[in-house]
Amino acid sequence: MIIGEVRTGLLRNSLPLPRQAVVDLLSLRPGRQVVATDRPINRTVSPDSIVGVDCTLATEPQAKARGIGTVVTHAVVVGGAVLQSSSRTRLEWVDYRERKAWTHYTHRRGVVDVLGNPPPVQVVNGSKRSSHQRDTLDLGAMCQRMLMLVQGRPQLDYKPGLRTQPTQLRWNATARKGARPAVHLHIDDESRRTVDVVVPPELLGEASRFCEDLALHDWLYTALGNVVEQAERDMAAGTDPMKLLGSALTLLVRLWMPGAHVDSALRPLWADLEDVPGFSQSWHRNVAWIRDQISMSTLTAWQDARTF
Amino acid sequence: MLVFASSDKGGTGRSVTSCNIAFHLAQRLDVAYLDFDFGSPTSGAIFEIPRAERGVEREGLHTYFTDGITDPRRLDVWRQTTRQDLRGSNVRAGRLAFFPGDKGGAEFGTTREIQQRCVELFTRLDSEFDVVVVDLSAGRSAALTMALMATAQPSMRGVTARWLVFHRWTHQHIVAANGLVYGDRGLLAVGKSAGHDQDTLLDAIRFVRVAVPNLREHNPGQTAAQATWLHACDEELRKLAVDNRLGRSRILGTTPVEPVLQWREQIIAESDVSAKIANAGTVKSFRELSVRLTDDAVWEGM
Amino acid sequence: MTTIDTSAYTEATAKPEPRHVALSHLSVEVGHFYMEDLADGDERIRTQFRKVLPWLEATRTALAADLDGVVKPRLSTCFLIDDYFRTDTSPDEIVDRLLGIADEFGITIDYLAREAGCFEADRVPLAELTAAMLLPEPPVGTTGARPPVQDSGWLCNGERAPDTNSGNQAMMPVTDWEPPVEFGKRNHSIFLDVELWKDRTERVDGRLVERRQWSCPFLASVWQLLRLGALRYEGEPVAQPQRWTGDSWPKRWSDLPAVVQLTQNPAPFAAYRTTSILPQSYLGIEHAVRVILDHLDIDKSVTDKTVERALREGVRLPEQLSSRVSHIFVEAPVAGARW
Repeated sequence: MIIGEVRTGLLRNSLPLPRQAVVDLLSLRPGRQVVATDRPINRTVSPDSIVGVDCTLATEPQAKARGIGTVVTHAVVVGGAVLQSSSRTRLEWVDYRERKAWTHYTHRRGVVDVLGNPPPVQVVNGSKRSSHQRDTLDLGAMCQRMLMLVQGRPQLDYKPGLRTQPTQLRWNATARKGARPAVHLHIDDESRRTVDVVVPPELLGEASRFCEDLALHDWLYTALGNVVEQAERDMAAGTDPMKLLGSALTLLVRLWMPGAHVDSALRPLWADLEDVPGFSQSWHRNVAWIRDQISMSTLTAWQDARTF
Repeated sequence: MLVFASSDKGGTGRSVTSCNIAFHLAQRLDVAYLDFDFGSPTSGAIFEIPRAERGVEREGLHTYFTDGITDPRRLDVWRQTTRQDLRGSNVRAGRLAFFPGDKGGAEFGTTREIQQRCVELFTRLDSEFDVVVVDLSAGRSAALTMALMATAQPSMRGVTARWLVFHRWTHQHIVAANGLVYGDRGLLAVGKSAGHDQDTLLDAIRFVRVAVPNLREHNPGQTAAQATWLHACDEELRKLAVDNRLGRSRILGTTPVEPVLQWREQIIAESDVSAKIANAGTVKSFRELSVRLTDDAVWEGM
Repeated sequence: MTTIDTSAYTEATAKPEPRHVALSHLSVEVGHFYMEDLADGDERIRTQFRKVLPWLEATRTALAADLDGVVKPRLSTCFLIDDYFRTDTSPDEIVDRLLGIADEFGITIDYLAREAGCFEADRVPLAELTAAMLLPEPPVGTTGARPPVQDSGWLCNGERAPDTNSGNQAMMPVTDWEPPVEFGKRNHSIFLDVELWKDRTERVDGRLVERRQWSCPFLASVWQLLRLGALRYEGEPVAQPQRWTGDSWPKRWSDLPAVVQLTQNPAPFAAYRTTSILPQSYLGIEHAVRVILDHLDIDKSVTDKTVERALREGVRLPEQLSSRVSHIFVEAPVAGARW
């Protein structure tokens, strides 16, 4: 089983960064490579950063569970504009009771040994608790630290092109022999989501990529929704929303490609999400609305110019 | 945009005025309000959020800074306030997120790690909210120093920061406000040592005169001698303010004496005015402050 | 083969497999010299090589016994010169003298390495590269909420005594002193806290510049990693041995490659295992090296390959790098402090 968290937000830069600048931005560890994919859209991934942990695992209902091992975190930039940081670790149930020499854990990066034999379902539920329980494994902190590290890098001009609310998506993926891949997305509140994924064991490693893709699109969807709301508020107050709508078009719209970077075996999960809640349909409706507003505003401006 | 609310003395109406400014800003923008009055975190009471009246039980800003939690508690004022009239006042209002301190929290010393956390908090919230109002402890506090140091960081250079200094309309308050800005270990001096350009920083500072008596209004209970004396005082204070570099061009605005606020620190909404409890002038002054705060023309260099 | 990969599109994502380096069975370090040791006449060098010789023979015999005649033993010898902490000597005064003395005792030295080469070789910042691999061991209760104290420049094998009162809120109760604890101790702790580097501000051409000075144990760890063939820069081997083609040795150490090949056809520089024959006073440094090696996130694709390759020629290698490193400490005089 893997548990993870993905935090998604906009890079603090007024315009999308070109490819090479993104590679520099994500060169966070000397000697380790940044991996960039260019099609269908640029997606660049930083080298993993690794942190050692030894602490209680949150469980629900409460059970005895201690986790010892390492958590890996990387940063992802999509389209030179959206920044994600993603922390994850594979949980392995063990039957020893005392912590082993540190090298036992450093050799298995991104694995946390689970001591105390808690029922797996209780660990999953614990990882989904709405508020982080103090003194338990804190993936969110590692995620946030990576996010801030990148956001403070000198490649950026520190002027976000849009003000948007970041999202946090906590996920868990369980391997089940012969299972058909399945996903459940739950919206906790305006910025937090939880995702359960079930996959056959050979696809477990692909789950994190899928969840990053899901987090990206959920964030895009949320951000564009907020832009529309803000534009309506501006229009009601007599403020011109064109700059806002223009930025949204420039920064967000071309990034919508559900499943593009996901392993083909997991792409059917997207099809399920397109059925309910039907992401793309409402996305395209919002995009059309924004374009309409911009066209109408252009038309009005043109007509005004003609009357003078 | 970051807005820092400071005052040399306590009891200047800094918190209540900033809360009201935040309330008005949030009618059209997404606003965060941070309670950096670490010695006595009480802004929750002004927003009338019972569970955060004197800070929250856990995961408030104190814990964020001293214990290293990742996401400090944020409360949606529209949903959490017990004031019905605030809740539904404007269907199109922006977000108003309140970041409370911890109940029983106290001032803490600044370490490098805490400084770094402060920079992170400001950057995070600036990317998310149109305006972030930071209510600082009174005087030359650790919170003020931390804010000045954080805003001088290279990664904050794209972020607009504006500084408000609240003072009452009395001799002592005017002198004290001057000291807070221009004096030894004042805002400008500390800002300079933190790496701010002093002139740019000065351009980003405005004073707010709080609870200024309106002498033009007819007051039937006043004798002629009283009125003359008051006018003379007022005139003297005006001169004093100019001498202390707190004159007209340096003020963002003035708020009138508001009886409601003398009794109870709260948000003054339209409903309080229509119920004839609060004065229309008070709401007007808060709204004007919120408009001028975000009007770049007001903040052009002098 | 004409079958097509299941996906219709692939991109060269710039993540090739790391490249191999040639490996011996054993790399033996016959000396680690400081400029003080070298500047002070020949006698000290002579004593050291005299002490080293029988042990070098012993390692040869032991290796042959381990391999049991299945494969021909590959053993290379090397020594390290410290030109990082002091650069005020010149190779043309020292190298031939040193090799001459080694020759008196019949010791062949295959490779000469520079300590500054462990800091940077062929413009690759090796020390920085290694520092980025540090993976400190978490004390019990580490949730990942706070950044590991990586930028402090220290690494320890346990949990430090708790800091009493910095960054706390005012008016918190004062706590009692508690001792540091070694991780995985049996009864009592042997707690070691190693300084990895020191940052200092220096004036260069009138400007203040931050400079990081790496500690001797840290550079010695890089040295072990090089000898174990465990370092890569973006998948490429680093500090590969080079021959010196000049007529005479240069005036400046920095003109030499990080690792110079001295003999005609030596066994490869890097090896499955390393042995260092050193004066006793190096015990502290080598203890620190061990702690550092146990706290690194080494490129797994490199170490796995090495284990596999060794197994193919019948050599079983422990996964843990520090278990492949051994020492022989001899009684030999040294000039002054070692770090």
